[in-house]
Amino acid sequence: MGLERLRQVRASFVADLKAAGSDSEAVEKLRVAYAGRKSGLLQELTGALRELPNEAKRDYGQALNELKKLVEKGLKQAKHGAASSAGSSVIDQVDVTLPGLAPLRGAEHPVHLVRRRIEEIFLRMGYDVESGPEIEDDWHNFEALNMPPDHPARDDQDTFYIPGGHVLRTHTSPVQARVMERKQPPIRIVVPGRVYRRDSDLRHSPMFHQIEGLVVDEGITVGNLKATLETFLHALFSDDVQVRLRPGYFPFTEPSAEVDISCIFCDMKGCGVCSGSGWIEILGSGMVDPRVFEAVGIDPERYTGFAFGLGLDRVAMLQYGIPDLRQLFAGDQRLTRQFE
Amino acid sequence: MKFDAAWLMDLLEGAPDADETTDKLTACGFLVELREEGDGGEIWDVEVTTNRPDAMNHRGLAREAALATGATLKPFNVSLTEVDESAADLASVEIADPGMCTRFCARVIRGVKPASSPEWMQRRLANSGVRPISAIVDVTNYVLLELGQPLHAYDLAKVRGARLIARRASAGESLVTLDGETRKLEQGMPVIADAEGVVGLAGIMGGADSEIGDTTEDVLLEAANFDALTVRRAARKLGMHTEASHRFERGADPELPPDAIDYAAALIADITGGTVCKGRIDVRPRPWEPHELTTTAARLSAFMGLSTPLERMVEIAEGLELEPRNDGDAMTITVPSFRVDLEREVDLFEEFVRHVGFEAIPARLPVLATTPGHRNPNWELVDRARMAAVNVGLVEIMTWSFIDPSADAEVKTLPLCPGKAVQLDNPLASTQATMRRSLLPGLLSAVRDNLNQGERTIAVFEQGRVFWLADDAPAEGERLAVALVGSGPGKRRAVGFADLKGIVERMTEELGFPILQWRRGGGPWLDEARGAVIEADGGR
Repeated sequence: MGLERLRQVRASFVADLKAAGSDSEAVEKLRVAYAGRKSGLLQELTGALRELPNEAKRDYGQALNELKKLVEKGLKQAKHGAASSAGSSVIDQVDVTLPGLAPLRGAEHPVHLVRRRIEEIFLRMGYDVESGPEIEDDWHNFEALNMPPDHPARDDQDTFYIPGGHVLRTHTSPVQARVMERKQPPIRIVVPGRVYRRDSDLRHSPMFHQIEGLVVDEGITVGNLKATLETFLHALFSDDVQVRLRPGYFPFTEPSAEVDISCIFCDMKGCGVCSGSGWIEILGSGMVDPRVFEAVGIDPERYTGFAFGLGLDRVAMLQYGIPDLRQLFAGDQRLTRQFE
Repeated sequence: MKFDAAWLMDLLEGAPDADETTDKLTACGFLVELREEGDGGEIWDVEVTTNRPDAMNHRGLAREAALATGATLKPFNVSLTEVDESAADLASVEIADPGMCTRFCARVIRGVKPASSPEWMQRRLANSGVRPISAIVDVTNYVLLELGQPLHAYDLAKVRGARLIARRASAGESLVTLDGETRKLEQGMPVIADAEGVVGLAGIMGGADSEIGDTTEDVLLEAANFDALTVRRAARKLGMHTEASHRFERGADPELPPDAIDYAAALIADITGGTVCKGRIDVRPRPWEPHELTTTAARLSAFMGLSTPLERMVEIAEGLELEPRNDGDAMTITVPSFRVDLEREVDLFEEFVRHVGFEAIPARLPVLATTPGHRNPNWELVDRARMAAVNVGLVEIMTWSFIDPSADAEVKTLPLCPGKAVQLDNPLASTQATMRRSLLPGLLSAVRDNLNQGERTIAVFEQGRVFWLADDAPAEGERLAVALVGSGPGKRRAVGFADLKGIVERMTEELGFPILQWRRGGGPWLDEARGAVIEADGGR
């Protein structure tokens, strides 16, 4: 209240002074109104000092003194007809304590923030960033990834179909196949992108985003996979998170591993986010299945490799505390504004 | 999948406590997602991956638990008392199509009386998520849950000709299944028929007409092995998913029917007071042939990045009942009939990785060329456009790639509409049936929603793909769209055409696009007086 009131009085004084110009009668009126001994504004403002809490008194007092000097100087300049000239004239003075007029600032969507952070981590490790189509053919989305027609694993990927044998890609993995079809090892890429599954609830959205990684070379080991994931997850979350690999199943990797991180919310004590387990499932990974190499024309006897993938939306939800995945795609500008 | 913890522990000797057992199961690939209190003990909800049908039963999971914890899996024993009357004199079985049925075992139990199953069995069933019904049905479910073999019990008196035939359905056949639904069968679907017609959907669900009831005296029991793909296709076409089809689709053990049917017959006789007729009917057109896999410690160690001694490999292989044999550095195993997932050396590697444990494998970064990474140039350009939009004060939003067909219909009239729209075969909702050809409908909906939320100043952009058909082939391209409403960015005054133009000019300048030409232009979506068409290098 106090400082704001001082600013108002300052602004009105400068305006009044300008209006008064060199009219000595008007200047005298100003003097009475502001510096008058009985009912002048400065007198009132001085009185207000007592009402303030102790911790605010110092700043207020200083500002009040400056205001008093300004009023005194302004009235003096007006009397001598110098008020309208440039230089140190009071009416040209800028109140440097006023809030600035900020330049415009936009904001990136949280999913893109997460994507670019992850891309940067891998770019620094020498990975290329690749992309591919969102409408895929059956070969790249399924068959080349060791999911022939009627494979039970297709059940797990509720698929949107398009007439003519195409699908909305159910994962970013088809881009792995596309890159391997046109390029021989060594390969190290990450592939971010939008993917689709026919599912909708608090934790599932028919549209979401993944980033996929692939390394293929001679002599790539399970230990390499483990180290790469640990390095990445430490860079993304913090060096303190523990990383746990559990055997899992994906048709395009053998062996496969589900990867958990220690819960970043409860320090592994068990909370709602980790369903009491202390662990948060964060990505899927594994050694590239030799059948995938065969499908794309890479010699599985000579090369091994690993692949991994994670949901960008899920990371955004974890890092920014967004409860409902579908909220990310509601087009609500207030969501993004939080990340200005 | 739900497991009764006490049942599981009962199959093991020398198992550690529940905490350690569940931890070890999780570590070797069977995530114990939830432990909850059931009737008389814990229920464990375990994630069994689709490639491991052998562990979708208590004994199969116990085998893994035994190896993981150092416990011993108790041997499987059945003591069955048969009477002199021969099953073969009372019933017969035929496999008409060996492509759909690789083995068919049957037994006859006579003189059963209506009963409910014992309390301990009901408890185990209930804890495993199966509702107890009657003694005979419960036994078939119990054996399925313990051993993994789906079984079916028929009222022998209702099986016409006392004969079961595994064959393909002919066009026009139908069946009322146990759930009371009438199923119209398509030609080629796998069925079990008696002398006169279809009595069951093979590997999926039995028929109502031959169902066990209170008047049943003699039971004809079936334990068969059906082809995974045949069952899967039929179940999908019929929209059915049962405990039996779940296992057959993933691959059931072809050598299991004899043990399973003996076990079930013994339990039924025991509980219902019936007698088991002599002999197990066992038809199999071609015997199961085991295959072998070979690897070496050196190859495994190179793959894992951890030196693993042959002795440890042998120990793991023995625990998994793979009958390992050593020949110098090489180890050869025989794949047991229940492990349909073990086809290649790399599948064997997985077994060692699972039981050596990821924990034990040292983390070592790969040695790769020290070249910098690059973004794919298109991807890079898209991000530069996005950042240019952010830099002029716009807020990024995302909307769905699929839109309402009625909204899409209006897009057709836009000057930039690329081609015919891509429709989804199976949209989640009729309002999400069309892939967007333009970002504008989504952006306008977002503007409306933001206004409804009480936002008065809207300055948003969306970057994303649009989709269309080019010569009937799906095509897609990147787009960026901007909307300004109210006082615009900066909140200083009402937005006008010049604000939008300024944004476009700044962004194209940042992206290094050629000089643009602005022409007054309206079109169905734009106000004639304040619309413009922008041209670059002669193109719009």
